[in-house]
Amino acid sequence: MNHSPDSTLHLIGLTGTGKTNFLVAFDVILDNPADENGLIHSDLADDRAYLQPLKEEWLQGKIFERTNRQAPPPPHQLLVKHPASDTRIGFNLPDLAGETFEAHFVTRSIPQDLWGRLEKATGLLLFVHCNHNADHAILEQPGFIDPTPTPKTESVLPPAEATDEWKLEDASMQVKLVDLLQFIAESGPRKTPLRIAVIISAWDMVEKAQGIGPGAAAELPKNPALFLARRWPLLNQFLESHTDTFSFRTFGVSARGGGNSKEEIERLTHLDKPSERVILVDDTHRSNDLTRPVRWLLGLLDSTPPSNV
Amino acid sequence: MPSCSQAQCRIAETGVCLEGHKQGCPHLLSDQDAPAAVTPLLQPPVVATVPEPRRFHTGEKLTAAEASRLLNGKPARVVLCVGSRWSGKTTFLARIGEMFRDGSFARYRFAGSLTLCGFERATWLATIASGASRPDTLRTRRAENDTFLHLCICPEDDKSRKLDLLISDLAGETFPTAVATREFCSDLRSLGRADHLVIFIDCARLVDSVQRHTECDNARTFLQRVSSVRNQSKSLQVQIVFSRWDYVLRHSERVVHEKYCKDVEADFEKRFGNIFADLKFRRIAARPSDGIEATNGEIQSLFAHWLETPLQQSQPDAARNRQPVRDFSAFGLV
Repeated sequence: MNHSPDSTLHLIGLTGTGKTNFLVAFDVILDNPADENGLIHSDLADDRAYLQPLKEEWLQGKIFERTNRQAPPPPHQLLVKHPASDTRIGFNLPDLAGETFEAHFVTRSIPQDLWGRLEKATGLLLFVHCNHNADHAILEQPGFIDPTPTPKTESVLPPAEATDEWKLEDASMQVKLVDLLQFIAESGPRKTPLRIAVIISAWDMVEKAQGIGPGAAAELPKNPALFLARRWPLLNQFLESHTDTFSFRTFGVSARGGGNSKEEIERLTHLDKPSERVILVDDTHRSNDLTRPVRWLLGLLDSTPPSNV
Repeated sequence: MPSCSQAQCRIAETGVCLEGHKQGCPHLLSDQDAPAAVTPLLQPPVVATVPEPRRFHTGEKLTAAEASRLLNGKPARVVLCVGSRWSGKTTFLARIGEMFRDGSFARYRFAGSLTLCGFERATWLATIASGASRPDTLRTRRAENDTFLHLCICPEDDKSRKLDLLISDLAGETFPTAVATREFCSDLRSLGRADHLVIFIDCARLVDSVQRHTECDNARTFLQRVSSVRNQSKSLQVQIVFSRWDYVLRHSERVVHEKYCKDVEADFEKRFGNIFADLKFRRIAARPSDGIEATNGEIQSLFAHWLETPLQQSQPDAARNRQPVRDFSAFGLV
């Protein structure tokens, strides 16, 4: 039997991107494997004081409260086994609040203890929400304000000075994420590129979205990698251009499995196997196996190449 | 050292208030309230050491010293944009950042930037999130002269080839000074090192018969000034941008103004065609109004020109690119 050293995988993502939902659904899937090549619990960690209550809420279809940055969750461990390769792994999955990463961007710094863990990390799970805007929408000038557009002298005068100053907190989401990755890249070259599983959360919303017009497929691709390239271009291009530092692969994930309405909660809890709520899309692969991104990070998935190779 | 009535507070040791007050904490004890020291303080108080967090680049425009450090590590092309106030320099640069962020840049892909915050700041007043009622651009301040936006990009067809670009825009309010005084231009480090100089001629002024001659004369005089202060003017690529081109396009006498621009081109060609490495003309509307489409293709073409034009390098510059690590003084700072 192989015994891998303990690994640390980090969940990174801004506020409301589904990190905790992923963590809890992952724990559920470990008990109810959805794929014969998937991961399973090898043992229960000594301390499940953080995960167990959340698991109960997840099973009841409840909505989680935001992870509190001021009272961060205690460190917790998951002990898993990969039966196909007879490998046992114990790994840490710290569940940090999205505000933590916002704070790193704003303060342009990372505490030494977290930095040390990031430097040693086996891989990262980078979360973006499918319904979040990667960038700020640009104001478009309407085309029918002035029917007599001949410029007059006064139109040359400068526009009124706006007083709203840009603040670091105002940066767009993809800029924040790219800068965080640039911070990590500043740690210098690794022996092998750091693996990043990009998780596009609430993927059920993408699958349910109705296309409007002939360009709908291009606007809202149903393939996670294409979705990232189309909707998060700066992040996608940054990752694609840093093959020596990062190796990434994109997954569409619905860890909760559906919406928050009463009908949706009823539908989700009505399923006989809770694991069937989960949706995992990896290119053409679609299943309930939420361990797939983690297996890819740990090098336990098939030899499918990452997105940027 | 102050002390506190709360048992858990360690302000006396660390100087940090438990409740985060910088001053005026209600629990703080005055010196009279504090218990008398049992022993004289012969030794400095023990201060708990919290490890300094790992700090990263600020995300704002690079200073000349920071830009020099970048140039010491790898070759990069330097671009200086100049022009009168409101001529659209910052809007043009903001538009470049926006096109990378929305993925519409055709021939190049984003590979990093040390100044993402600088780009966001430039765009902010044109976003819905800013709450502005109409698109605008934060103006470049005088203090930002000789600071640089940074972009690292790679060609669409060769993601392994990284190209670095440093772009400076001179605050419009200082352009008249640059035109009028040789000393100012001589001291501009971005001008001394620039591979490309982009002069913005504001079409909002060109279509105004009162202002158009001044606008053109300032650009002409500035170029004369540059040719006199720069040692290697033959190594400088110059682009003249007729900015805010939408003012010409929607003018009732559009043909007249287009012809005027052609005349300006001919005049500049005649005067400066042999002085600089190259002289090119562009018509750009980075953020036009009244339904006119932005000239994104032209902006991308100019951007590509900065990266693809072979540089007319002087001998020391060629050596610099072969051994960038030896370039200790790219801006003459050391």
